[in-house]
Amino acid sequence: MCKVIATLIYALTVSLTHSVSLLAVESILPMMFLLTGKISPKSLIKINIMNAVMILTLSLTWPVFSDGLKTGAIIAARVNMIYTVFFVTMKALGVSGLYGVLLSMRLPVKLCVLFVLTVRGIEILRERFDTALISARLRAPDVTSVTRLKIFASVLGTVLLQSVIHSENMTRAVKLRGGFRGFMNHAGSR
Amino acid sequence: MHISEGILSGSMLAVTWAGTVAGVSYGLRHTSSERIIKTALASSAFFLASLVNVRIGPSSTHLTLLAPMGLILGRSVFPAVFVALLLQAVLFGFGGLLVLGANTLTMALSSLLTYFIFAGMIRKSSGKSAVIFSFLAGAFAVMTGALLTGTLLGLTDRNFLGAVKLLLMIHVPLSCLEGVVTSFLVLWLKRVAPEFLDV
Repeated sequence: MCKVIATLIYALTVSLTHSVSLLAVESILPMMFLLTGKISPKSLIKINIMNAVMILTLSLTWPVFSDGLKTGAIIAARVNMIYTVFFVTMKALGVSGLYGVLLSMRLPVKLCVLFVLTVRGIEILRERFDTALISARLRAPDVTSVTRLKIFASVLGTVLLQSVIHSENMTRAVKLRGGFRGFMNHAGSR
Repeated sequence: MHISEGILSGSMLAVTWAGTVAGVSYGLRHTSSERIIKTALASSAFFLASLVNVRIGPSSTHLTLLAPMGLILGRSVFPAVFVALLLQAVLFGFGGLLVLGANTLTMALSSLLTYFIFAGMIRKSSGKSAVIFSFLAGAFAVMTGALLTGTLLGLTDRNFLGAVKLLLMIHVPLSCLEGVVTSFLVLWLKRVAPEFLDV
């Protein structure tokens, strides 16, 4: 819980900083994470490709080119700093840790149940989704783009139907554990 | 369509979080305990579908599926989108925690508006008119999402308006694509499981 609050405060501070010198001071923490190997520079490649596109877009669309470039560079620095700290926190926490945080924040039970069951649903449906897509690709390797969209829609429809079957099983499991509160206590103790 | 961290101003972050809290509590109030499980699993299916790279001609894209989410989840769409975006931020680093409010507001609000405007028309129609309404729903959801994102950027700094115009232009072909997928999905559901559209 404390880690998440600290990360949010850090992210908010960085988000609201406009001065370059202040940003340099705030970059000490993410730099430490990078130097101690808590995050690999490789994991920053993807966001920096997006950052490059963003800087280019801002410099071309801003009233003054150099101002756009500067704004883009400041935003890119903020994104890197916040992402690094956020990544390290979430890596330490994991999905189960995040679930614990949600519980300790005293959020509505329905929202916590929704979170737990969505994570569970992703695990259950992922395999079925992948299998359906692979089999569709094997049956029809060379199709037009429109047919590909049609196949995608029918695969999604099939997975939605399977989700109903699983939801009926889950409803029974939740009832057997004494409703949502009993289910949450059980999930929390695991 | 994700707004990344470090772009929005403090006041925009506060306003969007307030909107998201209101939207999520509205969604939870209109979601019965029985329905929350179905919502969670449908949300998982949409989460997985949005990660699939769909090849279109020489390039490929990820679909947002905002309209199908709105049409199938109805009033429960706000909490479902909130959880899906939270997981995207945690598992893949898309968006972030601080901008979770803004991203939830733009995406869930466009899905909810799509539901209010098009769900009834799609339910009552069949054949060609169902295809047209679903196409319009798909395109409307994407363009509304992009417009809301653009509004937040424009309200943060007026100089963003040039980039916002570009953002809207890029979303025009994407909205057509989403319209086509929504039409196919609605037609499939009308044939196989029409109860999905009776939210």
